[in-house]
Amino acid sequence: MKIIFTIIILFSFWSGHGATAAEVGDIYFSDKTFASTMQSGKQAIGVVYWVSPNKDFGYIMSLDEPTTTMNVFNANVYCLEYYTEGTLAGDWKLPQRIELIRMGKYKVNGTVTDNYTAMNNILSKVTKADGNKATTLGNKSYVANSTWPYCFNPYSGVISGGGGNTQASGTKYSVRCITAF
Amino acid sequence: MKKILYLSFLTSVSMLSYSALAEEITCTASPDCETLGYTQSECPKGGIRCPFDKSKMFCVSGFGGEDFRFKNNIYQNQVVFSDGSTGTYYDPTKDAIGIITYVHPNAQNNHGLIMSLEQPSVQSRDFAIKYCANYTTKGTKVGDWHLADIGEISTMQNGDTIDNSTQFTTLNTLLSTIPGAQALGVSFSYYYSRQCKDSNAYLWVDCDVSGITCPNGSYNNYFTSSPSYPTNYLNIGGYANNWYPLIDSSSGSWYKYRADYNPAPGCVNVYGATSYAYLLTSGYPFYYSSSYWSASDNPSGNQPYVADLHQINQITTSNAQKGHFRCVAIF
Repeated sequence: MKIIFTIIILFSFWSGHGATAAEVGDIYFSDKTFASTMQSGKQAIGVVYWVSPNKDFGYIMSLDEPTTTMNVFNANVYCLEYYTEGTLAGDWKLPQRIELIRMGKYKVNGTVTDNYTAMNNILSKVTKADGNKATTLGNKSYVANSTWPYCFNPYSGVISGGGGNTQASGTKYSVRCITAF
Repeated sequence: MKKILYLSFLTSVSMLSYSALAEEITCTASPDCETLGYTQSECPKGGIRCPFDKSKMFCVSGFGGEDFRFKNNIYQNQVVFSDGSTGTYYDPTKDAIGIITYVHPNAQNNHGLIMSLEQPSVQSRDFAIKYCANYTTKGTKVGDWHLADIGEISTMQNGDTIDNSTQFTTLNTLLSTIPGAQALGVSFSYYYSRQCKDSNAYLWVDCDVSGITCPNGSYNNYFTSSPSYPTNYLNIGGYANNWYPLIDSSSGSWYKYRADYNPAPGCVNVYGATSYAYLLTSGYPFYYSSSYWSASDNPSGNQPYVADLHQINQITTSNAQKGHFRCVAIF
């Protein structure tokens, strides 16, 4: 009897410890909750695209992106000023390389993870607060927050870069802001 | 801790099942140990053997079986200690295990990326992947560490972010304050041997070869305008930025190719300042490269991504045979 009681206690502790916040592909809502599908009465503001090994922290990409390309300087400012229902300017950022490459297709230790297809499958089913569909990722280069403006194509998984990093100069790339939980 | 509790639970349930059903069932297949989490064959820091297959083990960490976690808010470039605490400076009363190169941006400052303090010798990428998969420190266990992917190695590179172009340099300054820590990029696997020179030709010698020998093959005459280096070794940056053919103090004419970083063990600073050349104590110059393997491949080209940490604009792919690498862990 004692053993069973101990097991129940241990299991309760285990199952309640370090509760998982989200999975890759979950939709992030303005009330800071997550769900695998759209929820009635809630406003979607992002999609989870990476979670830690213990699934207790991760990255969220925005549901839209600016219609024009930007150099890294202006992209950085854009994301720092980006906000949504439930979030403020400063809650979002231009992804660093460690954050950006997890947004699309990547190959590590020989294993390919096609986050490009997975994310677009989700994004195509998400409706934004304005009633429009979320913007899917494109087969194009997205800029990273780095001194040398590196960029990443989420479709191909290719990293490249180049161009200036001042307000007035530099190669222009697509932009996708992120936040984290 | 979660895993241990889980293992205890599963094992207990399995054993209970055995006793409860013993009278009714005479034969039952043993649970698969790997499924239960006993995935290792040995545990340098200690572990638990699977009751159904003694060759399978679950490794526990070096201090009481607790999973590593940060005990306080963390910040970039802090020193990480084995007990989960971090600090701006090295604390001689604790065991340093790494440096934080990236803080997860969730505003809670409680997760991030740790760079190991150890700089292994140049190796093949396959070796690097296996080495890091088995790397441990006090306070961490096998499986906690891995070879940095291209995003993770970028957090050690100059130009890590738009407003940080000195990350590599900052990390090396910090590493120099931690006893036993090894600088990023320092290589003393190669040096040129005056014993091997033939007229103006100088031979690159691999220190893996015992003694100073003169194997056949690539030699380097860097009295010419375009010195070369052994092409089978990872070196994606420019010559002047990565390979420092240091000359002896008597001539001094090549000190302009200087090593700006901490000397490797066995090297002495012949000019008495950190901005000048180092020579091996044996009298032979050493060479320097800051090019690193990553665990990432270009999905299109099937070649590994590599980064020169000293330069802000050097990420590419390479099929070199040997290169630097660094292990990292996410907590």
